[in-house]
Amino acid sequence: MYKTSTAVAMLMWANTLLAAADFNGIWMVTEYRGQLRTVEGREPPLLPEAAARYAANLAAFRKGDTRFDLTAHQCASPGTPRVLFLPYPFEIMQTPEQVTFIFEWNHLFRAVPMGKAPEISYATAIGASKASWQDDTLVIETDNLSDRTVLDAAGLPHSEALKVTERYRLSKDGKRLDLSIRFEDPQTFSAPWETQLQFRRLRDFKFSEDICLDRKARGEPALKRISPERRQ
Amino acid sequence: MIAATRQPPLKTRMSCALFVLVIGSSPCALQAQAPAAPKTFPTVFDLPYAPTGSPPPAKAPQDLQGTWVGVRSVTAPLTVEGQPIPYNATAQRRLEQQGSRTGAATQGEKACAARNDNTLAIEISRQNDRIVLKQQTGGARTIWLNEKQVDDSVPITTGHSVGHWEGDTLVVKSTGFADAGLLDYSASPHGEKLKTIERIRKVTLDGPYPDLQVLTTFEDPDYYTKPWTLLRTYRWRPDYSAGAHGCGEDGEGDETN
Repeated sequence: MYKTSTAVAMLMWANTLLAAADFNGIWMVTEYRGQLRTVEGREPPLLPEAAARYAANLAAFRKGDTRFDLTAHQCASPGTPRVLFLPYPFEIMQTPEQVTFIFEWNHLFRAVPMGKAPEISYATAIGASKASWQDDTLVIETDNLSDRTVLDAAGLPHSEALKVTERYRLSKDGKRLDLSIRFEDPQTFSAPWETQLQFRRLRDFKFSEDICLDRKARGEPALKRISPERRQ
Repeated sequence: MIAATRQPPLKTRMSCALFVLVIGSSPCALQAQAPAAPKTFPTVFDLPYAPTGSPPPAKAPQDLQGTWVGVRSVTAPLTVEGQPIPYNATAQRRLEQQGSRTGAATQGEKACAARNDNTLAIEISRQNDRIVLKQQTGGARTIWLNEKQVDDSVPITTGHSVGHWEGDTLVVKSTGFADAGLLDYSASPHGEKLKTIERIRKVTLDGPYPDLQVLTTFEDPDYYTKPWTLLRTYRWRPDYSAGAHGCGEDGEGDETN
């Protein structure tokens, strides 16, 4: 009995190792226009109250008024998952126990343990995440997300009921990382929805040291300007 | 739906401020030998050791990887020799202008959001060319290894850090600090001339696991009459996470900033 269970455990461990693709490296979003869209290219299915809020934010965003966005306004954490698609690179550091994202923007990081999410009793911008492997796909589930963040530069709102599921998959040549993100928030959206993003691998790239408040003190913007009309 | 004035629970905010206290110091020129650390030191807040049976840190002296948590909270740090911080007249005036300790604490939080000057958790990981300190205050700090020069032309709050090994001690030199930062919870000021040297190593005290000892020497002739060194000790706590705290996440508008 003992030998059988040990063998099963070893097989599971070996399977985990085999399944784990190598995401280590520095990545940057390939294209993002400031507004998240569903995979079908539509606006997210907002409930009426959230839609009104989004419309107001979007109108302000188009005028260059980002006061609704605490990240652009005062260097607050963009939160999960928006921090991934800021126009700044990030690094993935992968171990069997944890996947860590180090973001160039404002020295932020996000530590995601394999298996079990950390227990926190309050919502934060980054939230509480846990990771697992499904074949060669890294799946990260996150909740406990603060509603003080917006989901994109145009001000897509959410509540603290939001659950985010990220699914990362490496291209065959290892140069691209495909990400699908599923949003579930019954207080904001009439149905779950998904979006897709792609990241390119940056080789021989060295992060610059970035502290958002230092830049702001020098009169520079907290975020590089993003507009719906301009591709990065 | 989005409550603009919403904050993390009061307990969290208090812990943010409360835990951002430590740092140590003592006179010694930056290039001089670091002072010997005392084997015992006064403890204000005693963090227990990790539970029995926890996975231990790596035995290799130069492998600091893992999660460590500051042992002490100190509101008015002394140098490693137990002496007052050697403020000059400019620093004294600035401290008086900064007013109450509460104000100092909140500004200290801002400084510490990017530095490793508190009793929250830090997680250390090693890449080929650098060591990364992931700090529970929300910032990841990079120490470049064996780099002859880092571009420190743009001053930043954290400074620019380069490290090398001297035996079992990681020696980290930092320059290029932004002006008007604070070094600790008592709001010790600094300017752009600040240079620091940290000497980081695992030490065996009386516990079941090694501790991490950090001796930081500060040199800034604009604010101090001489260099001074502070001692911080971190306990091995693999059961802690550096990644789940929301401290300082509201940037400029954060209460604890």
